[in-house]
Amino acid sequence: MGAMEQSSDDVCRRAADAIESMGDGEVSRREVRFLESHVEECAECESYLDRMRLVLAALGEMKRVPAPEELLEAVMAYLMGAVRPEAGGERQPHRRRGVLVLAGAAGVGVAVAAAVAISRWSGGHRPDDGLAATMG
Amino acid sequence: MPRSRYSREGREDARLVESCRDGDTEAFASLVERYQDSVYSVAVRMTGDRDEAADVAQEAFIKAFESLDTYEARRPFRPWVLRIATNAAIDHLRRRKNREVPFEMTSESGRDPGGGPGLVIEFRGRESEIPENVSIANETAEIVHSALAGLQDNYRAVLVLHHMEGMSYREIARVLGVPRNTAKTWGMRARALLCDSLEEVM
Repeated sequence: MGAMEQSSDDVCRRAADAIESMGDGEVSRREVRFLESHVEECAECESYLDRMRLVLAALGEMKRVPAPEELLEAVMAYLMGAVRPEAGGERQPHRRRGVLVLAGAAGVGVAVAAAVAISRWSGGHRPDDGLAATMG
Repeated sequence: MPRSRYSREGREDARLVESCRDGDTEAFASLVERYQDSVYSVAVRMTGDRDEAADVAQEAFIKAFESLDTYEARRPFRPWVLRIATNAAIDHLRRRKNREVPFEMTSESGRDPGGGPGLVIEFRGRESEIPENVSIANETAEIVHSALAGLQDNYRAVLVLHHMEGMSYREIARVLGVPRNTAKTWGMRARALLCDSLEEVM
């Protein structure tokens, strides 16, 4: 391949780089002028430029699609299913409600243990046979 | 335009997230309303099917709710939720491919996008239901959109996030978990492949 052909390839490579930069809106005015000049002489690069413009036009017409109304309902229904309503009607997140349940259970447990201890201390309760047996 | 953390919308997003963390599920409903079109649209463009997109979008919002503790209020909310949505869509596509469900071919070009390893998902045929403000020739637009649907997932994701959602490559890089230059290179390769799809008709 001669020097002229190599130079032509370099020019087309530069044109291709400029065309690819168009996709990001980052082509400089200098590159635009270079492209406009080059494509007048190079059918292949002119074709690539035309195709990139059409691709960018098609991509630019890609619009958001409105979400279906049911989407919000479905998401919230799922989240509400994970959040059970309190007896008083006020809803709390599951994790916070879980802490409240544990706190309540702990309180009840303490009360029961205290009642058992008081009962035994008052002397009316005998250790069960199993323990008595181990005490000899 | 993306909402920065310093914009009014960005501050409102941060306030809503904080309310969510305090147990206010209605605040999350507000966030869903704000971003459901973006999330759903990305899912539609990635899956090519409205019903599947609805499933993906729902899954994405539920994951977002469950992951609110990981959201950094100093960063914009939209790229964060779109990251979840894009990953949910890609995961969905992988599961779909593994089920080997036969797809409808709507593109007659049948081009192999090449570009290396990756999933090639043919469009499932509901493209006519997806609205486009088509000012270019319908045939050309159809070829480009069919080729877009046939790109490997990461390439398609970059184009959808950049051209439809207007995200910068820096934001796209965060969404996809890759360096910025990688996201930009994927975008360039993707557009080059779309250009190739028009070669036969021009």
